[in-house]
Amino acid sequence: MKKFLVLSLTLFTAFVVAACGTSDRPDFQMMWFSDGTEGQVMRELLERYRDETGVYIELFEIGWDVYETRLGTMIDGGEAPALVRTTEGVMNNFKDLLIELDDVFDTTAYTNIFYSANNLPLGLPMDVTANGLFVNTDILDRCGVEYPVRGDEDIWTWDEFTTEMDKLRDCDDVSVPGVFDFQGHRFMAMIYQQGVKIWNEPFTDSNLTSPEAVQALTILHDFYQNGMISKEVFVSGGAAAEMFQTGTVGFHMSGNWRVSGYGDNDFEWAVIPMPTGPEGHRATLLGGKAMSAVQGSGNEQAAKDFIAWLAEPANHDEFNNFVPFLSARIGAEIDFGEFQEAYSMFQDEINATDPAFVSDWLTQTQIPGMYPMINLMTDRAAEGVMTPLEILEALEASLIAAME
Amino acid sequence: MTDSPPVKQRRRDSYKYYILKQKIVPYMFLLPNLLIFGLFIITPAIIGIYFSFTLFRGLGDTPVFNGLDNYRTLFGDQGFRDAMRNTIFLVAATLPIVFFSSLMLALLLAQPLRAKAFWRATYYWPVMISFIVVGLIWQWILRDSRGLLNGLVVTLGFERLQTLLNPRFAWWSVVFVFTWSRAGYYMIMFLAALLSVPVSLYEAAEIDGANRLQRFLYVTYPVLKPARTMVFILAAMEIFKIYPLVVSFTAGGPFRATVFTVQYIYETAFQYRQVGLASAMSVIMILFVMVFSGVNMYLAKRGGEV
Repeated sequence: MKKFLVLSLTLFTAFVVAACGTSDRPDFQMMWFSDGTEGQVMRELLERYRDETGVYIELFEIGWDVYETRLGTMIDGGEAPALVRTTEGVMNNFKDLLIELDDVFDTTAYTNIFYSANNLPLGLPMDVTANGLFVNTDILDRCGVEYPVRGDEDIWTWDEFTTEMDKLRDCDDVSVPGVFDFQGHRFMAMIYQQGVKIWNEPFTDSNLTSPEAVQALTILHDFYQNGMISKEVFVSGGAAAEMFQTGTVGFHMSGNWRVSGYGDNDFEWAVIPMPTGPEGHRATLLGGKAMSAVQGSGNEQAAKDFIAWLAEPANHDEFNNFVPFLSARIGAEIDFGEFQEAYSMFQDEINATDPAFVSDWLTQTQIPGMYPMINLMTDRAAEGVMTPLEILEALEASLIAAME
Repeated sequence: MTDSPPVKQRRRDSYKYYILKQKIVPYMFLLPNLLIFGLFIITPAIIGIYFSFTLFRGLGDTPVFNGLDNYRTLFGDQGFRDAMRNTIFLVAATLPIVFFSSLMLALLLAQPLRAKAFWRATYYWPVMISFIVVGLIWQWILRDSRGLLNGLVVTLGFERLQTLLNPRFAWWSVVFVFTWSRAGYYMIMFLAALLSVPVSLYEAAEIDGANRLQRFLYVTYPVLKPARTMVFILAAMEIFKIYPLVVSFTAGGPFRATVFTVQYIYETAFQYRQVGLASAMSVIMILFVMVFSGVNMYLAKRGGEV
């Protein structure tokens, strides 16, 4: 018995010593969420960073649904990650807890930068997302729908779009002319396309009840009520993409994050210009992800060093090239492979968007709980029991109340 | 001279020691569970009550005491009132259906049947599926454009039905799916109670000339009272807390027709980022459930019917 005890203790000690000897403890952590394969790409970049500098950064992934909650809990518990992948929403919610990246990277080389109250960047913009219009060209061609393509001088208006897409209603093998993603913010670009900004004076004086904004919501409201677009997204969040992929839906209003997922579609599809308002305004909503550093991690300077390294053009482009994503680095050349044309269309939408609309939308994203509020707005438009003006009045009131 | 037992032994044999042991030992057995319950249920609940009196976003910020502001806000919140009303209606509609369907199933399966184990397993089987999966399965069956039900309807040459996009249909579908998912669980409780009814009671009733219905009404049903109380309260609490099933089944749609209290609390806390307000909503909901359960238990103890 004694021998057995001695042997057990020796083995246990050996394990402990061996474990300590080979421990590979990270210097600090990066918190991450993925839409697709970009987590793997970032891991490879982190390995290269380790080879070059000896600094070991551990990437850990968290599902988007609980991302902000987990980040808040970690900060509360004194376990703040040094680096965190952020969106405008995350940066806004945690703006007092992120490090201002003063002199860490050249801000003139990047677009879509989210600034603190001190007008200093809170994150290095990594990639850009934009709304756009996917169409099933097999269906559109078969049903005689005429549509513009990238580079056309004459982009269609919403009225022309409606006239053309109406042809899908009587066409064989079309279950529904189109779908809009569930998230209400796909709709918000339509307000800009009508030629107005949301805010005259941030958070106090809005244009949401202007005739232009009402016209924008009336288009969406009528689409839902007359069956131009499916309401099925209101019982299943992922229904829009699933329906488009059945090959029986003419168009899908979504964004560039869908491109790689649509690579397996067994029909011909394309991304084409979104319609404009009567004045010809084109607009897309910019979103995107950034790399931010968190206060109180104990590795603040090391986190800033990494962000400076990541901002170097070769490193930044490597991330976007491998995913691939639209880059937030001005002038970056990304190889989108088979999706070149689709991404070029998204880039075209971004280039055609008035910068005043871009900054207006960045103002809008500072409102906590803004996304569920506009989701509720589209919900009411689809339900059809309130007029577009009543819905927009309610939205305006809740957005202003959220900032009081 | 006789040897007296040692002091220690005497103490052990004393009546006082016996009583002490009888009183303390049961609590010793309860202690591990009590610790876990206290740590993971009671403590968060107390913290939640504290949050309900604070302005707190749950994003690394510090809760700031704001008195009864959250309670004032939530009583003026139309969304919360709608969600509470929706939940109360759901309990009122679902509880009797679950109660009677599980009781009927138990009565049927208590009969001398062939392949009894097979039937019991068949009706219990939905209980073993998680709520998320149950919701997804029924969404695939009932959804409008690509659902199995509509596929069958169209194949048979009929006009497609408006299913989950119809708020009323979606609401009653939640009632049906919850019943389908949980009736087997409560059936087992009733079945266990039914099988423990002494046969002599039935024999006596038969001798007194009671028919089948009378035997059920005057023997079976009264004897089932503890099980009935248990099923009634457990099922009610489960329906009050309904969330994962609805999220995967209808996501609260269409047009928020199936948004119930827990989903609304979740949205308030994690989408609108108002953890303090959401905590106040949770407190109100817990109070509501406690009053409901308390009244039922009181009635049951007094001899009233549930």
